[in-house]
Amino acid sequence: MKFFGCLLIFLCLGCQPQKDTPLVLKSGERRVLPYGETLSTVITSEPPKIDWLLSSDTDSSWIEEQIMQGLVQFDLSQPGLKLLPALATHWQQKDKGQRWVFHLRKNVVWTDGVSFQAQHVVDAFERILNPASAAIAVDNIFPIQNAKKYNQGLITHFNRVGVKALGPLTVEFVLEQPMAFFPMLLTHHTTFPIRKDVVEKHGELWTEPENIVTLGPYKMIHWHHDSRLVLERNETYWGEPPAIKYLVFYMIGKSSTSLRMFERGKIDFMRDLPSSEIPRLRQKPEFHYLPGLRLYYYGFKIKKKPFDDKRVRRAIALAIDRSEITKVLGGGQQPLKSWVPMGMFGFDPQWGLDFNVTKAQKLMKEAGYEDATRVPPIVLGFNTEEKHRRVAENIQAQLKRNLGLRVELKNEEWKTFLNGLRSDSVYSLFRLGWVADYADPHNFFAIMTSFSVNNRTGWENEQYDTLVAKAVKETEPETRLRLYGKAQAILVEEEMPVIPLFTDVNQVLVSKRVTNYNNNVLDLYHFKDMGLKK
Amino acid sequence: MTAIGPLLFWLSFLLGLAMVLFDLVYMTVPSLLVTIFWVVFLVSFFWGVIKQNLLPFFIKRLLSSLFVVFVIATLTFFLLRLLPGGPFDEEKALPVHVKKNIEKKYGLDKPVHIQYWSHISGITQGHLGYSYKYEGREVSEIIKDAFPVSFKLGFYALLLSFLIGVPLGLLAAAHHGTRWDSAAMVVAISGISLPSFLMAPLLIYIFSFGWPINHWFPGFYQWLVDYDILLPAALWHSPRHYILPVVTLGIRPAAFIARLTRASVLDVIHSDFVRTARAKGLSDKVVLYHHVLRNSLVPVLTYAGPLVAGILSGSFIVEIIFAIPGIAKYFVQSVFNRDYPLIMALTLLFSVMLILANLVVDLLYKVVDPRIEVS
Repeated sequence: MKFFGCLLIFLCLGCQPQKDTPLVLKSGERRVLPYGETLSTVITSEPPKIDWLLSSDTDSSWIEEQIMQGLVQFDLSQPGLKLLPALATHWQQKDKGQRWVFHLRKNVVWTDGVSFQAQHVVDAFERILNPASAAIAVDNIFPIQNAKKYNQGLITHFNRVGVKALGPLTVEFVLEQPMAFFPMLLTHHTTFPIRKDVVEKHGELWTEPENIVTLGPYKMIHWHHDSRLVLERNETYWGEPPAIKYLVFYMIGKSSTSLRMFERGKIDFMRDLPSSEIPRLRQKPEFHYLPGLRLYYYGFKIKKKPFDDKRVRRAIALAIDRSEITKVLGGGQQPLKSWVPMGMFGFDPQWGLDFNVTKAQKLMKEAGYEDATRVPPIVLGFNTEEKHRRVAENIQAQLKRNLGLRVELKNEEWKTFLNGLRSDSVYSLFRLGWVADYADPHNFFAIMTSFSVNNRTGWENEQYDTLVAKAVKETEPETRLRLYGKAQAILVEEEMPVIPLFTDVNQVLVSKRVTNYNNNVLDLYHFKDMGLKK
Repeated sequence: MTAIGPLLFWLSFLLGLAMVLFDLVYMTVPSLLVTIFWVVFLVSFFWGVIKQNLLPFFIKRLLSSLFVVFVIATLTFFLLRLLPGGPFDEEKALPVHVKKNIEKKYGLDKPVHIQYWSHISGITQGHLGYSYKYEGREVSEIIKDAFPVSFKLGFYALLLSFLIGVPLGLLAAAHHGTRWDSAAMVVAISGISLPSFLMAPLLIYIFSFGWPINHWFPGFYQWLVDYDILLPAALWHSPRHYILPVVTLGIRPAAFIARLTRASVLDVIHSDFVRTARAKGLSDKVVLYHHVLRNSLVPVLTYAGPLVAGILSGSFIVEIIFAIPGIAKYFVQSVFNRDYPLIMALTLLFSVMLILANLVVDLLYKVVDPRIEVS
């Protein structure tokens, strides 16, 4: 009993009932983050690497976007997603968009006091393209001249790649071919400048808070691995200083746990909400959602019977009522029949096949499958997750109801599922999604070209490839729209190797004390623009 | 001379207690204290081993364990290579040459037998490699960060389970057949049958969200919230954060231990030597604590071996629900991520812990009941 008494006393001594967050830095310095100046949020895991050139996951990139910046940035306060100057003040296109010159901002300093220079931009491209870096998200910058060859190891001298410092504050990019939306690529974290000297000095440990050197609105002061990461306002940031002084990113793997923390007021901002809780959360004023540039689609393995026949593929697409799926999900998803999701340049609801059972049945008959029992078995593959299961079950029911088809559901753990997609024998129908890296429809059209590694259907179409290649080069928006329209007619009306299902939503919970929160289709949340109520 | 053993034992016990207190008050334990504790503990441990003539047994077991660990390492290595999907597969597929760049960086382009050899030789040199997923973090560093957290969580849970379980079992047995007995066993049965994924939300709902106070007395509830008296629902930043996960993790073994203790005490209580003790005129208390309890601990210890290894290496569910930065979630996530070096290291860690725990339990048998022959 005495022991329990002692234990209780010491537990109480350990209690520090307060809303402020105490913090002990690695240097031993003790700090208290005042509640009124601290925004707490949550990421789903320990960030695999806060190295903006090499990381490829959302948690890391979210933090990178707070502590770093690119040459240009999106204006997130407007739905049009215009480009704003960031580290570059202005830029010019030459040779019809094959050459781009960026003029960099003066008086930008890194957190260690060194001034920002054009060479830091060139260094970044050298580092990400270097085969020894083994960067994953590298294909975004392949439009730059010789970038791919350098990354493949076919060229060993970086000076042949189309990135050059023309002066201390001028960078020139030469592309493989004209590209109208090239500046947009420079919003992505894989193009942010880097301090090569810092990386070389500290090696693998350069992203630790005591080593890392950045120039964005926030700087990292604390990283307790697997537990939490703390950013502080960067007083030397070139732009308007952020209103919120501290950002705390808690690493919480289970979204229902984060939700409890949110409901207890310990977290002010969270995304990745538990899908089963969405109907309840939708009633709350803290819940915000917006269809994002996120496509959720099903693909056919077109070498597998019965989907080798495009009439069957079209019949399946016609037999699915997409609004039924979005109703089942109930999180604000929007039915989508075209390949470009809502909110993106090039979105046009006229493309794609409408729900039409009679037409679907007719097509099945034409394909020789009048008797549904004679259709070869259909295996629908998806990775194990509550949301995907609900979609798959709904589609299974719809195909049974509308065409009398028997569909077998097969869910697998993520990597096993991806492995299964490599062969043509495991699944005949599969679910996948695509999130835009930048706000241009090329993002989505590029997936389905015959040479794309992300095209897992086995479908190849020369005409489609030509249209997409042509559209990239085109600078006239009207002409681009026309070309993408043609491409969509082939993709989601004629050939149908994929069925777009819905535009997925970005769902977030934002505490009432957060001000100036901007919802945007890109699912980008920059805390520098937000504030906290006193 | 004879007093040295118990002296060392009690010294390490006190040091352990000091470490616990330091941890509960300051969340950190001075490294000097930790070092002294381990030195004293190991010395007292080996003192005991030598005193009891168990050294040959100990060495023999240790050597055979090394072989077991080697077999486990080999099996894990090859089984991993049989898993479909690789560490760098993601939704966005990689261009072929990018994949090659990555494989080259991690040495995955070499033939399997060379990878195997470099891996095994790495382990013997104490180098476990870098994680594939958390780039720049050595596997040994991840374990160094995460294992103490799980160890702490497990240690407190174990402490709790023994502190509750043994007295509860004893109580039930001493009052065999009475209301006390049935009450204790009802508690134990419910403890066993409530899985932690149910127990955790239940505890959180009550102690963190203040149910049912939040419905009945909203004013009082608001006061509790304002002064932050309710327990934290997750995380691991102060001793207050320990309470709910420790209780969740400790309650099941506590219930199990209670039942085991009860059954075993009842067994012993009817044996001849207890009757003799009673006949000698010893009081009930003395009989129970000095004669019965000690002899009833053997079955409990048998259960404790695997329990200690399991609980100290963490509980996946508890760590996930309470967002505790421990090692257990890596057991699952490293497999999902196909993080080969991390999976290997964790498998080895777990097997070594299991082996050590069983070894210690075998040694303890001997201490508790000298009649037992260990070989």
